[in-house]
Amino acid sequence: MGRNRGSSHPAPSSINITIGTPSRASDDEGSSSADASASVAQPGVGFRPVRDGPGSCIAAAAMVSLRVNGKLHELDVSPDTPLLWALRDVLGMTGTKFGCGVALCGACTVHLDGLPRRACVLPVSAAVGHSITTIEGIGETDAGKRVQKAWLDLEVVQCGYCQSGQIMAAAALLQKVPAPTDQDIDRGMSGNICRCGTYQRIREAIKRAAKAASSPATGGER
Amino acid sequence: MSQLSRREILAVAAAAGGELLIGWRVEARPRAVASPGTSAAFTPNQWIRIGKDGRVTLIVSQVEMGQGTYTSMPMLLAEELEVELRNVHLEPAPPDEKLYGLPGVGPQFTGGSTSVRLFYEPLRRAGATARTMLIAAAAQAWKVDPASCSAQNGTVRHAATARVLTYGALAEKAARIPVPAQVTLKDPKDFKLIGTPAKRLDSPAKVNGTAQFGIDVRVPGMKVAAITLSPVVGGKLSGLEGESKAMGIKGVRQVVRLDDAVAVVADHLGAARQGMSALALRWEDGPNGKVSTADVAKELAAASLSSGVAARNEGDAPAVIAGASNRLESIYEAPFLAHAAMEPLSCTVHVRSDQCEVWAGTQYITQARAKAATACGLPPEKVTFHNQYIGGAFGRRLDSDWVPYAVRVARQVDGPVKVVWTREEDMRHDVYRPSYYDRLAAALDARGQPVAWMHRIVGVSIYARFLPPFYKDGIDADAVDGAQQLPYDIPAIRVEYMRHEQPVLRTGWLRGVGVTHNNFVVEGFIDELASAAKQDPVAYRRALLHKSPRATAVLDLASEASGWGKPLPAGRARGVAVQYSGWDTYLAAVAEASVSDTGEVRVHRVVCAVDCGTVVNPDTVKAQIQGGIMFGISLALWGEVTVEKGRVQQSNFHDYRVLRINEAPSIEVILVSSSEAPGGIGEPGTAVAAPAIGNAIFAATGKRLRKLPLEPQLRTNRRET
Repeated sequence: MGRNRGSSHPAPSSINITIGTPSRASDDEGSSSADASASVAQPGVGFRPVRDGPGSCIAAAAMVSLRVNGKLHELDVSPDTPLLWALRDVLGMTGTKFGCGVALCGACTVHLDGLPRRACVLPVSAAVGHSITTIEGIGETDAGKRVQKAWLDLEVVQCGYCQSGQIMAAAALLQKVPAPTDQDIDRGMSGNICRCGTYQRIREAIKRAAKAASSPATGGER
Repeated sequence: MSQLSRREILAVAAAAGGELLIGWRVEARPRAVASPGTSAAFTPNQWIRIGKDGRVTLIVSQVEMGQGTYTSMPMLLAEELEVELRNVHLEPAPPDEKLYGLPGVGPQFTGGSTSVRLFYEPLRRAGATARTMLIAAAAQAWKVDPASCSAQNGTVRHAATARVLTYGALAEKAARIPVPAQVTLKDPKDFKLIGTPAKRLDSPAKVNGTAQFGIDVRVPGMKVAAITLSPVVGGKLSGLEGESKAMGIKGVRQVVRLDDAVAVVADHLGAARQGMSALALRWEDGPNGKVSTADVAKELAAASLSSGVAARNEGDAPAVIAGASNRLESIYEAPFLAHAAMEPLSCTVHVRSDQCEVWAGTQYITQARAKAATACGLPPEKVTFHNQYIGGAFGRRLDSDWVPYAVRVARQVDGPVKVVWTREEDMRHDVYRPSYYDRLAAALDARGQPVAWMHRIVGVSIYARFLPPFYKDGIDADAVDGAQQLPYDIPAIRVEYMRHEQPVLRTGWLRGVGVTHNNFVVEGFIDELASAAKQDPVAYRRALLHKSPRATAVLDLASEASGWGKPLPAGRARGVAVQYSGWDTYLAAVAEASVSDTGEVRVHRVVCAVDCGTVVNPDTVKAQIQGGIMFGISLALWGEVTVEKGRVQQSNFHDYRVLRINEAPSIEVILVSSSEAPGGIGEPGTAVAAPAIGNAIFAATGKRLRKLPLEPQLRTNRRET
């Protein structure tokens, strides 16, 4: 046909089917801890674009106001701009990474009010009025600090490109499930791809970070 | 280049795929080019700079893309220079092959699991040279015999008089000492760093978001651009509609037309992508618009019927096989593969009238600069290239085809512009691992032992394009790597290569390179022979490896640690694979796998024994094997790029599936302690995954899979389409 319509994004339906692709997570259904809530138990579900966020009715001409790592920013972008590009290209916070653009890989994971979200499909309008945390700020949280330390202790990092997203996902998991089982880790982390294959160390590091919280004598510093 | 030793040839025969080996204080944002003269009091060679303040800088030739080279290279230097690893600063080398090319090979690239192998001695020698000169300077100052002085932790000491001078204090004086022709390297038994699990120096910046990858580059006044390339190799842009609509989108600044691509320039990539979506593009496909991967497969099969060029020929294998009563013949096939590194391609360029500045992560900086220079019509020396951290390259960025696109866009833009490929553009415009077609035949004696082995490899020659000296007399050193070195003692062996080029896709290096395809073929076929001989796969191999004690040793270690022969839960089975290649590393892996009723393959556990000679950073070696195997599992189970009407069918992680944490096995790595020369480590793990898994699937199901990827052939719910 010789015709191609610009950049080619998979149809939204295929995105929803494959988000997180925990293709075998269903093997583990039913055995998880009861307190694993939807955003942890089903990695895909929590990451759909939020289309009706509180800010979605903002007029196009207005500035968008975002609270990132505790600091308020005014941005002159259209409300449907994905949060990822507002962070990276407008605010210059490049720790949050672009990997796939369609919520398949988790490289862009940020927290919205403490819950993991894929910034590549989250319009800024949906983030207005919420508290956004990025990799640049996660070390200020208890869970985030423990995760970063465990990552260094166990030498998780290889190329490091996906690790911002991995750390954000792991910190969100620990905030939700303080002592995650292997199955919890599968569910909380299967939406985050690492092509260097650091999965084994990610798993160990999450367990180590969890233990660090539960050793009272050292105040979580071990 | 013309006077290469066999060892160097082997070293580079492996050239190029993903990674090298092992792995300071690395600045979060590595500076682009060496800036000679910055407080440089002492520069004994191209790699070392010691300031009057004692600051030690290594100008590192190799680029960091996850393999740990920003730790292993400084370890080599620090060991001999007698400084603490954390006190060595790193600076990426500028493009200069004379100074920073691969020692003994030439080009300035990072790939082929070559860095530790090729820099092991040169960087140690560089450190020892500087140490010797610093000691000489101190001895001169104190008027004592240099032999009575010693170097320790960034200082020179004279024990007899308890005098100490720091390297910083000695730097200027050392610079006036003639560079010694010969220096003594440390005895390995005195190593303090080499062989210890040093912490990676790049990790801290990579866990807090401050590490700057190519895609993170920000230059004052910079715009960002989305790009769409012709969907068919060789196609041209024939029409563009919707420009005014695109320009109406907030933040969109410019639509740039190239003859084979379109870019939308904007304030941020969100707007650029939206602008691109508003455009309707038409392409003139050219001759490749009609071809598909099925055509390539047919052509490879047809080509395999003719004889190739012998890369190894011992005895008269064809005659023995022709006359044998017990012979086996098999055909193996391997698909095109994409890299799908986590960081999509990007390149930031500022073109001015008489100069050009480029920021990007490249594995091959001199090639990238040359291509940028051609694209902007300037001599290479007018192009400044700032290399960056790479978010996983796996061989993709050994080719610089993408750099000129960004330069051509930048020529039409006022000021600097960062061109970013979407995942879809990245995957559809990769430089793919080529497909291969292999014919094998063997003759067995009455006891089932092989008496002849024949292997014909048909596929593209990457070296003929990439590094012509390694395509010689009709043989591509990479295409036959891991097949030519068949470690089994068989009286007649013939390994042939038949070059067959195809126009459908551009092809190049991918982590594991030629060995990935050959290891699957060779270890699949030897497994077939063991099965035909009704013998245990480990015992069968072991008997044939008696001339290779290092191969035998890794096989014994892996089989024992895996519990080979011991019962497993129902449905699970083990498969084994041995590997030896131009990387000069010996590997044996045992995979445990099961296949579900619907044909889903699960890899539960992998045990891998590794003898890569001298180890610089054992923790990185383990990480490379673990990660290499994970990478190899994705390729083995699902990796396949297909083309219809010239268009790559895959586009993102939903249709180019890669391993996720819930699917990842536990991987145990056993390192053999060795004082042999260092072997490659970034790639072997990738190559050993498919054969071990394929053989485990055979053991579990009785199905011998001779084609990759494995899982689609087992799926039972795939018939509906």
